[in-house]
Amino acid sequence: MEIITLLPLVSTAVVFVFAVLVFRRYAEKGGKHLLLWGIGLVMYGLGTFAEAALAFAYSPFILHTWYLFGAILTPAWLGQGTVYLLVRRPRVADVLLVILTIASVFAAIKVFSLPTNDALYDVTLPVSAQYQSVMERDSLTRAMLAVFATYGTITLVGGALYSAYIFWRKRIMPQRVLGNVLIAAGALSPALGGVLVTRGLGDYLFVSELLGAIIMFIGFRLATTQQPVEAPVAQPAT
Amino acid sequence: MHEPRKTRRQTPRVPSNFLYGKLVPIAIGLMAVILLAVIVAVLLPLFGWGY
Repeated sequence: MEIITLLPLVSTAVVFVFAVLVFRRYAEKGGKHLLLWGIGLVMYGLGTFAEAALAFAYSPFILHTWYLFGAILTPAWLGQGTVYLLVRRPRVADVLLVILTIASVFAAIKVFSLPTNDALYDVTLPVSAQYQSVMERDSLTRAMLAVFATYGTITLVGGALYSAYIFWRKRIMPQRVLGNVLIAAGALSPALGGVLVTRGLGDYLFVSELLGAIIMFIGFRLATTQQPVEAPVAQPAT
Repeated sequence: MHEPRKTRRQTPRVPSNFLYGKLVPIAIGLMAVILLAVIVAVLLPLFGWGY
């Protein structure tokens, strides 16, 4: 077994630890953005776990699970968390969440109904290098992938960059600036990996997912670390 | 008797330095360009361009 097939296992471990920390923070502080990031990370982990499983044994269910969570849903649900963080009108974020939920259910039904050529699957090769020949995707599925990926990437990466810029311009909370820059970089990593997969370069996906998970994890820890606050200078009573 | 004047808590400002002043905006700008490139690469096939 090649080492590249073990990378998704490491990614899964990193992502699930990350998800536990996000859910724990949600339990302590509340905030729908944390809940949705946690859900998005669980989806990320399901995608990488399916990748790891497909290196040991093949089943159409695992392949569909990988495609649904790994390719379609993860960025959009992570991005929805950022929408809750940045959009000031909660009603707008709620409406977008309802649309996302309905679209996700439709995507799940659509993906799990895609026919597969099971005899073509080779467990010695990465799933990202062969899914296009094994799973018969129609134009609607490809369009769904593009819409989910675009929504997720714009909201997650764009939102992190926007937050970093705002804090940078105000010259406050440098850890939050750096944390958001890292979150954006980490989210871009699997997005770039996904683009390379569609161009027939599937070998880079596993590395990009692992790098993305680690960099986002570090970014989240930095952005949520308590900033050292200088003690206010006491004003003399007059 | 005078009450002590209320102190206003302010978030500490980041002191000026090259790393913060130059590298951060370059990184943000660079990633914004990559983000646009990724979006274009994802959307082009929908309109029949690309592959």
